[in-house]
Amino acid sequence: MRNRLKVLRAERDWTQAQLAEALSVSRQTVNAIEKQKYDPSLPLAFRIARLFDQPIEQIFEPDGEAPGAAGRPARG
Amino acid sequence: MPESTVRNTLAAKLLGRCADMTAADRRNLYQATWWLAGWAVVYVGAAQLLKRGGVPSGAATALVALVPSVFAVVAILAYIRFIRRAEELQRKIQVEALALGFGAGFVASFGLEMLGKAGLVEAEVSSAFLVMILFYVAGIWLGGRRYA
Repeated sequence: MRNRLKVLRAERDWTQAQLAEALSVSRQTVNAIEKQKYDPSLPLAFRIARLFDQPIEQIFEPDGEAPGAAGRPARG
Repeated sequence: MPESTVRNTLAAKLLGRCADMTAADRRNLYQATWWLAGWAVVYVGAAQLLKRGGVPSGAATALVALVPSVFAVVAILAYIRFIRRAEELQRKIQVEALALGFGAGFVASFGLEMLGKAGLVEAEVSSAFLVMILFYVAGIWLGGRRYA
């Protein structure tokens, strides 16, 4: 599962530790999600989406799809 | 560093070797560790007491023999509580380490028994228990590395 967590965090100038505290998880969890070594549970994914005020599909998408492209109709 | 995140605590190194743990996880892990340490102390004390015959036979002997088990049960309950309340990656690492430790203990237990029946080794059940603990700790270490 690919994600934009690192980009979203960088846009807000948050550290991994600050994001971890906001999500009530360890810094290791944030790091593992950013490095795509670990896929978060659905409740955690919802917490992340709520925190960044974005739909889940704008943050996470299955491998092979462009970020935020899930569900979009093809152009042309 | 935020207060809720603690790195490389003693308990984390012993039982939950993750680079970071939440404060709640650390607190719960400490509780389980303290009960486990309490069990070890009481176990050694009770064993010495029984060995030296310092306890009157009968109900008192049974009581001394079973007191360590009370500490062990509370330690197990505290560890289960830690697992249930742990944040999700910590829980995943712990469960994978438990599976590795249990599997290794299972293999060691029956393997040693068969080797004993074959007359090749003389090993006690505690040897398999030691293998179980070693592989559990190795699992925690591997999990910490895998998700680092």
